[in-house]
Amino acid sequence: MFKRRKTADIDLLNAGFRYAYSLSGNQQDAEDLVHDAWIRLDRRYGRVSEKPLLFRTIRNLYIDQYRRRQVIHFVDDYDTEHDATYSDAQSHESAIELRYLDAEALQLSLNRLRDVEREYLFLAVVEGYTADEIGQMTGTARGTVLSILHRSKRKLRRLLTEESDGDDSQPRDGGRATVEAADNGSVNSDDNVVELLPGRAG
Amino acid sequence: MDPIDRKLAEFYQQRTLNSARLESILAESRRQRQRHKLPMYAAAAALAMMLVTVLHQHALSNQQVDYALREAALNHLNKLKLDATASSVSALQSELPELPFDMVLPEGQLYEELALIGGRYCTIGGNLAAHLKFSHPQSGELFSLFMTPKAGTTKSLHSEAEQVEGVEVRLWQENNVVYAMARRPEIHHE
Repeated sequence: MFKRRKTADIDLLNAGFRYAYSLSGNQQDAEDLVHDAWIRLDRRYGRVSEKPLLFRTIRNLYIDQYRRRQVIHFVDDYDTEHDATYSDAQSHESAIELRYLDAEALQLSLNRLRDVEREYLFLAVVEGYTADEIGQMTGTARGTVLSILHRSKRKLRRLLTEESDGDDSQPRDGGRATVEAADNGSVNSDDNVVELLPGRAG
Repeated sequence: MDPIDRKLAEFYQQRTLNSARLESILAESRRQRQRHKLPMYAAAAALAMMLVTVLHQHALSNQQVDYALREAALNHLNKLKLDATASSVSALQSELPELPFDMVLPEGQLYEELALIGGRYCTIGGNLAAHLKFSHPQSGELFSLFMTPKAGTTKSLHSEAEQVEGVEVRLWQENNVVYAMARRPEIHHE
């Protein structure tokens, strides 16, 4: 029984870690986030057993931690600028080939997404949550979730295309620097800006 | 499934906490649970100890009551020689100088109707007691009244009545004195 419980705990911890990774974009911050969230829930409830609760706690911790030291762009600020910027992404889609989608390229591209984009993509694609569910979890309107998901996918495609094409307009070094910076603990590649939701969920 | 979605899923599935960090979180969690449970365990242990003590005292007290009832019944049945004869309690008190307490009759009309025959030293529940013998003037029925001061730590005694060896025995407490009354209704004459 203890072994089964330990396995369940490990599975849940890893799920929480992946979610934290999708938020922070780097290993160290993700580890710290899931660690803090787990201990906090454990102290409060004696046992952590629900993924949504763990995710919500990780998210709140993330917002708390980065709110203190960074400027936060709320989803409300997520304007059409992004549409314009990435409107040409569709034309490159055909150029994407699976062989280019190695982990490193994906990591580089993900780190050039905004936090909220990575988060929603993770929740939708990896965890399989619907836009409604993501909206409930994050306190965001379903339409906004769908819009962000749509745009972040296009953006990711475009970034991956650049990676695979070796596009000089987005230098690889810059991307790697982003990853390195992220691994060193900075949140995002650009301007120390964390983009989050209008309010804390939960 | 979209190839990017598939790669994205694969990418995140490969992200796992390293075993050292996992162990560190789980160990901290275990320590925290133990800390949480410590006061609960202590409270449970205290409660269990209290319960055991109460039950033990209750069992002991019941044993003591049973023993005292039996002692009173046997003392009443055994026709042991009286240490003194007297027709009043005060006279008997002076005849039994070793008694470390003053004899006081319990409340009730019965003792005013009964005639004191005499008394003797005895023990009830391991304590030195006085055994007073009465007879009923009309029926000739014999009554034994036992009295001993209540021991300091003994819990308050409720009235207990029982038939022991055909003797009706009642044990009770009144003004810090433990009394026992024994009679054998069907035998009126010794």
